[in-house]
Amino acid sequence: METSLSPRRLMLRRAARHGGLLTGGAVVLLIALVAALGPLVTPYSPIAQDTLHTLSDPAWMATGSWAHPFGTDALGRDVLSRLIFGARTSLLIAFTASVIAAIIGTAIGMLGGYFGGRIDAFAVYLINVKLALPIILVALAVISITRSGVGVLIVILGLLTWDRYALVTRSLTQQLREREFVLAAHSAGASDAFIIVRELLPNLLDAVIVLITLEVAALILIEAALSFVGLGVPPPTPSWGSMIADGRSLMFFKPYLVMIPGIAIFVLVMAINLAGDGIRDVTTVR
Amino acid sequence: MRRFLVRRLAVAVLVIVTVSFVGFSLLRLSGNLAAVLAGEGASPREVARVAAQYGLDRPFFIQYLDWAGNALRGNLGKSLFTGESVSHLIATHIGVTAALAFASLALGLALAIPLGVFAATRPNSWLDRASLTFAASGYAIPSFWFGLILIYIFGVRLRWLPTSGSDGWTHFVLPTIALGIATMPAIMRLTRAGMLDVLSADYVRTARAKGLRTMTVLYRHALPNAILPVVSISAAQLGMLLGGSVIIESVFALNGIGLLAFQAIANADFPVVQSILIFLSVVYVVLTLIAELINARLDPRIRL
Repeated sequence: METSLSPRRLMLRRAARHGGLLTGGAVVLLIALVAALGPLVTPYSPIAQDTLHTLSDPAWMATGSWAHPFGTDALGRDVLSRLIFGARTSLLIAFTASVIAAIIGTAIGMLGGYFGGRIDAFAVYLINVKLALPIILVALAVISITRSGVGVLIVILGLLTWDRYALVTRSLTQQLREREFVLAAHSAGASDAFIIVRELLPNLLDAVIVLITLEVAALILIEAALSFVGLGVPPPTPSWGSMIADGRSLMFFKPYLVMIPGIAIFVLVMAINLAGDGIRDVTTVR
Repeated sequence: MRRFLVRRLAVAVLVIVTVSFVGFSLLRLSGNLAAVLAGEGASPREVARVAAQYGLDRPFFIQYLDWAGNALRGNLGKSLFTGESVSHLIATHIGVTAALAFASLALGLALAIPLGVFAATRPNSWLDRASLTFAASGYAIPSFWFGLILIYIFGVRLRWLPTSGSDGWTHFVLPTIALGIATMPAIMRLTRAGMLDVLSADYVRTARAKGLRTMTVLYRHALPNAILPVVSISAAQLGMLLGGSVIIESVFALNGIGLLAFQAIANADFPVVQSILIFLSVVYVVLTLIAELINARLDPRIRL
């Protein structure tokens, strides 16, 4: 019966039956929604210190209370509120950086794949140079010298993570270049620019969206690692990485300060990866 | 084979030259190094004096050529902080990092290959899905956080293993686990995909029909042909582990090149930072080149 359906309906039907996509997608949407609502749903300000209630235990412990469901940190800041604002920081940085990387990588990959020859050789050379650079080290060094905020962090991460987009779009463009619809556009007198933007790009979007999803997950981990060592999101802006760093010295007395943000990173990254794999499964025609 | 080799080597050299230039410029372009070195609140005159002292007032390209010429002769300059020679610093710290990277990769391969083979024998079953999810979870755990958890459980609660330092092999166990599980998913997926391709091949069916044991068919007949992409990814992973162990080394106070780089970054010790950065890039290029040559040796089609 499936053959009678339009490709889009077919895709939606496949999506509706894909457990990983549904679970991952639901978790991502929930976290993104809470992060977007941010100040509307957080019980406290994420940076307000309350010196009378430092290190109060989370609600599930006998000594805890529902006033602070996830407890408070050493400065009396509400952990749940910091967690929600941390999600905001994390998603904002990872998503914006991924989009920057997607634009750079897709441009390099498509130009190389479409024109071939010297242009392609140059694209491959750029990709090889990029792959050789150790991401974390370069990011740490640049951030420590520039000593600047979230904006620079996003740009650096975007500049350091475009390689996969370039590799994938390059090989897809090489395959599509020989297809009838592209040859037809050529013989109809379409310019190279028209063919790349109007004929090829729409056919690459599915793959790029899958990559953006998977790279957002990778970038969340990178941002967390950078913030953990104090060279990511500058304080007092809450970030999951810096929450773990703050809790580290207290880990033996108050393990929840380290556990909670770590689990948050794990759940979000896992859910995004499940969703990304799911999107790939339902958009790839087998 | 010869033409292939020459072309690959030429590309590798070109990439290394570019990377060294990028690594060199990155630190200079991302801020005023002289101002960073002079310290906060330094007067413009002091900054100018520092710039002259380190040759930072010369034209940028001259500075690069000067540095590159020395680097080719094995002289990477001196640490601004301790005065030690940078090549000596790298030489004395790379062992720890290399040991950690190899051990982590070995752990990743040891977990991922059997898991990938196992999953491929039952494609799309719930066991396959569970294996894929298990592998994926290795990727989703932030390794620095996992390191802290391991320290808490095995170092503090159980007191089985040391939690910091790099004096003996026991110091490497926890960081290896923290770093190794992150390499698992990529290798596992590639093994699984390669096995799925190979298992439907005629020679595997023949081997089965001869009545060979399943294990023999899987590991002696199918796996060697499925493993080709794993060779490349292992080389790339090793390169990434060498560069990516910065954070884990600082969590476990493992005295490797990552911790060295991290401390150099904190001290604005730019000769050390840029040398390590370029050194790791070169290692990456060489590792992927070796992997490509191994692949070309295993599969003649690549050489064309």
